[in-house]
Amino acid sequence: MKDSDLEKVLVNAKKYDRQALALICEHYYPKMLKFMYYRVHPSKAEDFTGEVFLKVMKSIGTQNGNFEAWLYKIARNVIIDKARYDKARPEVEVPEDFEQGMTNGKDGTEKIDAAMDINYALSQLNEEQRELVTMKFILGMNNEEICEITGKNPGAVRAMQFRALSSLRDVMIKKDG
Amino acid sequence: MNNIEDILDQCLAELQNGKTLEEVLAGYPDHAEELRPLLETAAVLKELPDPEPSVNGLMEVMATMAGEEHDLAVKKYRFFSRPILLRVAAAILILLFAGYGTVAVSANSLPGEMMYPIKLFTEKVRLFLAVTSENKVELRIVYSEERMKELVKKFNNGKGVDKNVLNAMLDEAKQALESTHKLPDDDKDLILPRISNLSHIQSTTLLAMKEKASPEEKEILAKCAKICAQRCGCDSDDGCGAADCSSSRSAPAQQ
Repeated sequence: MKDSDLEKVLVNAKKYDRQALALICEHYYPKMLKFMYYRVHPSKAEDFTGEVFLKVMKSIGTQNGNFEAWLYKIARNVIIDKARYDKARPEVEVPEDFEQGMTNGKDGTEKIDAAMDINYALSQLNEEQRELVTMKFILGMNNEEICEITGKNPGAVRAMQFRALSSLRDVMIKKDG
Repeated sequence: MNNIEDILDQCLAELQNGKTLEEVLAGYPDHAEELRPLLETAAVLKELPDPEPSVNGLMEVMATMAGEEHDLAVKKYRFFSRPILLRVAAAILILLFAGYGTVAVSANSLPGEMMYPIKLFTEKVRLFLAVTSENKVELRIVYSEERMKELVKKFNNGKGVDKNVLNAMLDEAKQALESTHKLPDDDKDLILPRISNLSHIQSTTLLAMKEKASPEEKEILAKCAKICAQRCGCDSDDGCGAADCSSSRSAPAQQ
């Protein structure tokens, strides 16, 4: 969807136009699922994604400013709320069904192996680092977008991405060793 | 630029702009050894596969949207009034998410079974894809028949009367009837007898079930049989099983 189209759709979605809401869902659901998949845990991704869209439905009528940033702020709050209730640290173990539900399998097994290794490595990061890695490298956001969503300044984002990549690399080397 | 954190950020931006890893590292020879593993790690992250949305997950979100919209009641909107392109998009969506196999397997599922939500989802999409009002009415009739078959199957399996399925059966027939009255006369003349026939069969089926039902269920079945009889046109207080129903159709065998 083009940005100009998205703006029109958003205007209608804020009036609870069913067609516009369906388009918003179709456009953002895969992205949000991917965010939750790597940010939290594969087994919880759909549950958390559904929760995000429930909150979107409840408050889209009063949404202002950058929609995508608003959406990911909701996602952050969902994760925080869930963690409060579940005291959920991201789980370390790789679920048995991890290999199911993966697409983009151009390289087949190699890609899935990489995803399993990375998911384990991600679970070893602290929450802030994991969030940044998911946003910046897995979803491809730029620093400005991350700053808007997280409220951090650009210097802090640059410092954190250095530490996060270093930690990830260390975990992966340890695991391989 | 001496700070390694800033240099890393710059390298990432250069990679993003299409430079190769070697080209980027050549620009920072003093830090190349430290930067290489970090940039390689970033490259691995970018190649991670997308998770595949499940039908259930998507359905839950759609149901959430439908439920919330109903609660908010901000704007009355006809769910199935999307333009053609969106209908095509929805068809692609269901083929991607559900797949032919899953849909086919779900076709024989009963309420309470794992595949049943997929069956309902598929029906909704088919209704959504129907272009003309006449086609939509036809589908409503088919779905009402399908609910009746499910109702009978569950009842014969000793699981009693499924009130949700019973309601769905009546509701589909009601919507078919209401929509038919808005059709041109020629179409109306063709479809009304079909709805009358369907209602007759449903009424006699419900009365047959009533014979074997519990006292509480008997009351519900009698009430619903009467509704069907009114739609059939015989308007008997006892449903189409009564002698004064002029319909000559027979009820489907309970299997």
